[in-house]
Amino acid sequence: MAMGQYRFNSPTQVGELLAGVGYLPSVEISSVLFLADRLKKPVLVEGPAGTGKTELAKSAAKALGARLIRLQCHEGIDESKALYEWNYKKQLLHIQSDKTGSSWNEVEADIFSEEFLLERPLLQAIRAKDPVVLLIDEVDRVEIETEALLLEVLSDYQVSIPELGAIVANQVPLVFLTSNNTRELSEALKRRCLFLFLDYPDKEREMEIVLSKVPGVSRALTDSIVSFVGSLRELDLKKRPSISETLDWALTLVSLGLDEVDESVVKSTLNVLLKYRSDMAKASKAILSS
Amino acid sequence: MIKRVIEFSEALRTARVPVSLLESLDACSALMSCDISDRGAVKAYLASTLIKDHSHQKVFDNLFDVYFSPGTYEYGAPHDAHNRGDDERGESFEDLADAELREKIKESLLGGNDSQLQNLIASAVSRFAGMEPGRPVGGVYYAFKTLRHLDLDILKNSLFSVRVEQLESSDSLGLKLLNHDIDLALEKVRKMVSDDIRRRIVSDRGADAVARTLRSTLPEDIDFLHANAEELREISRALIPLVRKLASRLGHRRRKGHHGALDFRKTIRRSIANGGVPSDLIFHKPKPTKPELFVVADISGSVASFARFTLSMVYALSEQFSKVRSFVFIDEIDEVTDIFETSDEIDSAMKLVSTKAKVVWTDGHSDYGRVMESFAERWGEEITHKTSVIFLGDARNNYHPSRAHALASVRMKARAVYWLNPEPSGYWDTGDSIMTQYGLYSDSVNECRNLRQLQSFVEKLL
Repeated sequence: MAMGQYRFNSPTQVGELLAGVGYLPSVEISSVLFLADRLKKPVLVEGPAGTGKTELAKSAAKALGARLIRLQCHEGIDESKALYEWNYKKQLLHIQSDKTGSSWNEVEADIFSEEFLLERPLLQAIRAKDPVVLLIDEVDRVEIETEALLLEVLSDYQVSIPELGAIVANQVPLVFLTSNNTRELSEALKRRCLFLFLDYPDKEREMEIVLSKVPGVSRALTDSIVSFVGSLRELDLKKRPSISETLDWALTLVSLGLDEVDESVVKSTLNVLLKYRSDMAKASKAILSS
Repeated sequence: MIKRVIEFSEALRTARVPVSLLESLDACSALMSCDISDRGAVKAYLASTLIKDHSHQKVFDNLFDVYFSPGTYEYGAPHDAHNRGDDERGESFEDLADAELREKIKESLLGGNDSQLQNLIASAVSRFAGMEPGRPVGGVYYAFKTLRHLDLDILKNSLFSVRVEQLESSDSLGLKLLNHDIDLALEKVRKMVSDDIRRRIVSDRGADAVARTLRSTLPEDIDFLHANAEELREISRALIPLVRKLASRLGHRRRKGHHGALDFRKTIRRSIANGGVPSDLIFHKPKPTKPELFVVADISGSVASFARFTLSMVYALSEQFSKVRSFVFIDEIDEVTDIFETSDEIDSAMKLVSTKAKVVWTDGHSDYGRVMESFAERWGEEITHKTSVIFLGDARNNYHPSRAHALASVRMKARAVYWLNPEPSGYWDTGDSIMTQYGLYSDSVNECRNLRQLQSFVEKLL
């Protein structure tokens, strides 16, 4: 294992690296990433949809020049999809082609060797020789029982395969888990992770994000865009506008050649920000009337 | 410093935030392996290692300010110097008149000059709060005094008049956004004031003492009956994720539940393929019973918020029941199932209920006996062995007769009768509470003072 050297020198450096690839982190984000590197712990990222949870992992990989290995979780995912699988067909072919009459012990040792091992994302991540970032996306979608599969990888960075023994990581990868909090994750999993809650950004940060991502947007327009979205988020909506929707809206306004936010503009473009009819009705009532 | 972290974890546990030993060890090693001169980073390190649930964040924030406030904790030389700088510059504001101080605060708010604002607030606190060392009062009183002297309304008006001139478009939306912006700024002032006061109290009395007086309750533990408006909002915010998790857990349990009896016919048919050996056993699909629910809620003033939370939880889980019908009463009972089914939001539904439902017969004081009788009479026929009836109320009958025989007749027909009482069980049967008389005819009487208890009841119910 390549120990002893750290990826980051300081939280500030983390911030600069991420900013370099177009992700503007808050102090918390860069501090937690820095800490994850120091303590060699995975980061569990939680928060409302569209606040850049997955994007964070992608940007971290980009900033480090590392390969991103992604495990998209879903209900019913199991070992053979997350960890490893034996290549049955190849094993069968091997047995059939073996006409030398070797003993069963030899055959068994043969067919349960690495040649017949299919790597799935988790195993791939810990066996990688080049730098990798592992992203376990929407971990709250797997069943509680399946969660246990992750524990060995996340705490000891190893995978036990009965036929081969434990495979220990060549390197400790930077691991991100994201969750939309649809169910309570197990204590065991949470204990092993650093917890990072990504909320909607504060006004200054969101303005910076808009300014950096939307070409040709003026500062004054950004200011009113962000305050308008901020006031929308305070309403009790089914789906609050996310950062990406703020960006979409800013793009829309810029490409329509508008340079200020007024009632008529909002009325005609509200559908970019809000995705439910009832939300739109509520927003129009709260913000546009009186 | 390790000691501080341990004390801090201890305080979190006291507030019912689960912090394991491993987690406080992590927090310690985090602080040891990192540079801790930056308070923001320290906070992030501790939060990420100790807090694993966002609903605990607020308690964490409060306690963090107490245990790691700059006044009581050394961050190394640079910060100390900065602190001294604060004080020195603070001196220079002493000779300003009150109005000038307000003017300065306005200027730094407009200019976005936070460090100057901090100093101004500090001198405002020393001037107005009238804090006396050693006095065991909460910070709220001091904050109130300071804010009253600062007079935020005047501040707001003057901020508004300055900003409105800079505004290019003056349609109502622009004004509204401006208003929102200024409210945020004033919120910042309020927060700075209370932070500053807390810092002073902590350095006066020590962190542990302050942590004890600090009311840091998780939303799940807030008492329904004694919650103020802010806490009620907190509860409803906490309710949504709670219900979502509960629903997914129940749904999961239902899908994964034990299988039913052996399906003999299918097993034999399948066995033909194996030459008559029944190697695959086929079972009947389980048919989980979905209970039918009648919720009967007291909505008189004293327990209205409790009824609101329980009803919203029941309706959010309505998929888990085959049918939910709801009734509300004060001294007359009315069915409100329609209202809840047609409106998608509990708040607007509750508003409709209070205007439309006929729940007052004479004086608008709860009369459980009368209600019980009329419930049994009007809807008794529709109660079957599948129906669970849940009564929500404090059983304070204003000294009316209990007429518990009506409840007995309901129980005879129903699958079960449960009673949820939002009062602590020690208060039952004191004054006009006749809980025991009704309790005799209920399958169980549950104390239900906060979300945690409500949740565990709903889980047991299913």
